[in-house]
Amino acid sequence: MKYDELLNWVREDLIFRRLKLEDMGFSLDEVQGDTILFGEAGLSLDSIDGLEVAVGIEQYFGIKIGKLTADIANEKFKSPQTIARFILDLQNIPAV
Amino acid sequence: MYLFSTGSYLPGQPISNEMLAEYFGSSVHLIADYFGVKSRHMAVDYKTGKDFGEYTSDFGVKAAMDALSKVPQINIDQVDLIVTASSTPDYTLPSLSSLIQEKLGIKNAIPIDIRGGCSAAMQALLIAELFIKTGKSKTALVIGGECCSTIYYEFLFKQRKSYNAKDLLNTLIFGDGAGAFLVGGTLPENGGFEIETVNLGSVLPDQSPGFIFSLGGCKEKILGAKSVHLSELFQHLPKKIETNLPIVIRAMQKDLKSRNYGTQDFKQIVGPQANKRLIDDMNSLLKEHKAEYFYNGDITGNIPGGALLLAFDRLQQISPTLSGDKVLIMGMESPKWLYGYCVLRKQ
Repeated sequence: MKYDELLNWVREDLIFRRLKLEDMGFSLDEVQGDTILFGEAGLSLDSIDGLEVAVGIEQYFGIKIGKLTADIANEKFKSPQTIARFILDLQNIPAV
Repeated sequence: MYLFSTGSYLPGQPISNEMLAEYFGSSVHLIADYFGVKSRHMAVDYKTGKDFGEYTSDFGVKAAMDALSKVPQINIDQVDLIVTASSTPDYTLPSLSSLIQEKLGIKNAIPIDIRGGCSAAMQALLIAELFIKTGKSKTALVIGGECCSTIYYEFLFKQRKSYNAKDLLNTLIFGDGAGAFLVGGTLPENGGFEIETVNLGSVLPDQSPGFIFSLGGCKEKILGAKSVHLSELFQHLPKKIETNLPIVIRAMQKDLKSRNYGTQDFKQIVGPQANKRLIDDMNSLLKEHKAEYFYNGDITGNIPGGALLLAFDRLQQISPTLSGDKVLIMGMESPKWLYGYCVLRKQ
């Protein structure tokens, strides 16, 4: 999966649908590539949502994240763009 | 009030993360490690999802029999009060305490149910104390237990290819089992503990829940619902917990202080058994204590109504309290913002 395709999957499937953001009153347009996902500045998702994102990645790509460390939660899961890059890193694919 | 003896029961063998990962994949480790849970006991066969035919009342009976077996001078017919604490009783009605009374074959006891979570066992103990202090009871069983796995595991197992984290984490962090305290108004011959005080608090009553567990009620109906998803049965609201639980802990500390207890007074503390993350947060607030802090939720999972009684029983097996030493047992719960604690002194 190329970066742009992957970013769309992260935005639409992993974040918007898997986390049921519509039920929380968000629209897909509010989930852009650079939208901050966690913390008060952005969508304000919580730690269980963070686990949900990690499990979603493991299930879809069959890759193992291992531990949900603070670095992953705070940096790698910061926005759909950082998540997409993180997935490519896990697969050893350059983000071109 | 005096604590004569304690008992506990955990069904089957411990089910490790590795065992569950065979069926649910590597995400088991990701979630379980996050909460610091290594194993739990379940009333179902983890390989099939079928239950063993043993439920909360059966766990409670076995924990009670364990406690009674340690005080041979007390006959089971002397028990005149049974107070239970659970969020997963066998039925809405008949009550859990009545079922336990029937299964223990106790003819003349008053059965009382407390529905609650991690502080419910302290609520049950307070009811027992009031009965004993007023002379309405001489010997009481306080029993806390849960059977969570039979509610959802079979369903989760069937859809194990398409679960989400919210579904799976409940299997990983909750466990089944029970604990029991046998208490009374006179000093037991075998020593036991004096229960110096039991107290409860309801903090932030205007705040919405941090955790909702709905098996169905007159508002959240299960029968007739179009579809029930596991994540609708258990709703975790971690941001609420992160904000409100420290306030509950501080309120409990203030309460203890107002009764002239400092955390330095305790040689041992049995704290919440919910999960390691919560314990770590709480320890940072209670950092001045020098007590032995006992936590076994990592190997039993969280057994809300039974956890405190069960953990104290296990503490006495592993590291018995010495004569004259004091133990603090404390629980907090996030479905609403409650705390409960008791102080025991070894005779």
